[in-house]
Amino acid sequence: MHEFLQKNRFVFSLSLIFLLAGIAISVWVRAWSINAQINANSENQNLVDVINQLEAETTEMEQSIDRLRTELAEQNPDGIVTDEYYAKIQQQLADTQFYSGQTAVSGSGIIVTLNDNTAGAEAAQQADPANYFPENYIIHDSNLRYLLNDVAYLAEAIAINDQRIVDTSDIRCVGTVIIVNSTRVAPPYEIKLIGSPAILEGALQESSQYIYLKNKNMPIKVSRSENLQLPAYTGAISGKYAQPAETTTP
Amino acid sequence: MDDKAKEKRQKYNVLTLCLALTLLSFAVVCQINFESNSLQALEGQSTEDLVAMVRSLNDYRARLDDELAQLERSQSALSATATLEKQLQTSRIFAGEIPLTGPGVSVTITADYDVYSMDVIDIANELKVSGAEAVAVNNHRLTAKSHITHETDQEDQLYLSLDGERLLTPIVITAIGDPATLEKGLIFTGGIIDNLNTLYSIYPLVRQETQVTIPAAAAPNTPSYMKNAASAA
Repeated sequence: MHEFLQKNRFVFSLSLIFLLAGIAISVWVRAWSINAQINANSENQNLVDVINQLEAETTEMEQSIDRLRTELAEQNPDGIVTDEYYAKIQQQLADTQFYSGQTAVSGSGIIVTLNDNTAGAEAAQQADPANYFPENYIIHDSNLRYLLNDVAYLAEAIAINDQRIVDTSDIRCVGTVIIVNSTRVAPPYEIKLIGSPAILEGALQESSQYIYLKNKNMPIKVSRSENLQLPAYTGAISGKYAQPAETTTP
Repeated sequence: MDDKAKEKRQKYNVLTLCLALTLLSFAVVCQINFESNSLQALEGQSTEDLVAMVRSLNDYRARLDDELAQLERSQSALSATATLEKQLQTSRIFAGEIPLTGPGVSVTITADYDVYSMDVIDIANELKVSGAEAVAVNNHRLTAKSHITHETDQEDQLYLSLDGERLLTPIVITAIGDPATLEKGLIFTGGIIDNLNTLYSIYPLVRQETQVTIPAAAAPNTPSYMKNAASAA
C-alpha cells in the first residue's frame, strides 16, 4: 500500500491540482456569466418582478377558487339553487304575502262606517240623567268583532281605520279606546271590505250585529266603492312559540 | 524497451485521468451553480420571452378573475336564496299555510253549557290579545275570515258552526303561545272566563299545554276582487 502511494505520488498530486483547477475554472465561468447577465439583463429585472408578482397573485386566486368551490359544494350539494329556483321562491313569497295581508291591495267592495251615538247620548243625558249610561251610546270593541265575524268571511281583504285585519289581529279596548293590531283607532270606525259589493252588503243587512246596532240607533253608514285602497299589515309576523309541525304525508 | 513503453503508457494514463477529473469537477460545480440559481433562471431569459410570459400570466389571471367572480355570484345568490327561503317560511307560518306545534293552552267547553258564537269569538280574540300565534276551534284553524255562528237544530238544541261546519261538543279552543300569558289573559278577575262564570254560569276548563298542534288553514280561494296595489298602480 505504502509502496503503491509512493510510486504514484506524482499522479495523485497532479490529480488534485487538476481537480482544483476545474473548480477554479467553473467558479470563474460562473462569476463571468452572472456578471454578463447583470450587465445584459438589468432591464429585464422589472419584467421578472412583474412575473413574480403575477405568480403570487394567481396562486392566491387559485387557493380562493378552491376554497369557494368546496364551500359551494357543501352549501348547495344538489345544485338546486339556480336563478329559476330563486325566482320561484320569490314568487311564492309574493303570493303568500298577498294572500295574508302583507301587501297593500285595492279593489271593489264596501265601507261600513260606525260612529258613537253622541246625539242620542246628549238627549238621553238631558232627558234622564239618573238612567243615563254612556256605554250604551258608544261603539265597543266587541261590536266591531261581531260585525266582522258576520261579513269578513265573504271578503278578500279587511281593514279597520287603515289597520289591516290579518289572522293574528285582535280587537280590544282599554277603557273606551279601541285598539286594533296594538294601534289605537278612534271613531268613526271605517271597516273596509274588498269583495263583491252586492254580496258584502247583502251579508251586512242580514248580520245580527248590524241589526242590533241599527236598532240601538247607532249611526251606521254603508257605501259601495269600486276602488278601495287597503294598506299592508305592518305588525310583527314572526312567532316565538309556534314551530312547523311534522306533517305526515300519505 | 519494454520499460520505456510502459512508462509512456503510464504518462498517457495520468494525462487522461487529469482531464477527466478537471471535467468532473467543472461539471459538479456547474450543477451546484445551476441548482442554487434555479430562481434566478428567469433573469437568464430573453426580454421577448419574459414579455410573453407576463402576457400569458395576465391572461391566466383574467380567467381566474372571471372564475372567482362567477363563484362569488353563486355564493351570494346562495345566501340570498337562504335568506329568501327563511323569509318565505316565516311568511307561510304567518299566513296559516303550515300546520304548527308548540306550547299553549286549551279551553274546553263541555256539552253541559250552551255557548254562543260571541263567546268563542271573544275567547279567540282574548287569546290573540295575549299573543297567540295560532288559534283553532275543534282542530279548525281560525283566520281573519273565520265565520262562527250559533243555530238551533230540529230538536231545539243550540249548536255552533265554524265556516259552515257544525262543531261537536266538547268545544275545544286551542292556542299556541306562552302558556302562562295565554292563561292569565283568560282567567283574570273581570276577564272573559270570570264573566262567563259569574254572568252565565258557564265554566270552561282552561289548561296550560306543553304541546298543542294546530292544522293549516284552508287554502284561500283565488281572489276575484282584490288586486295588488303596487301592480295596479
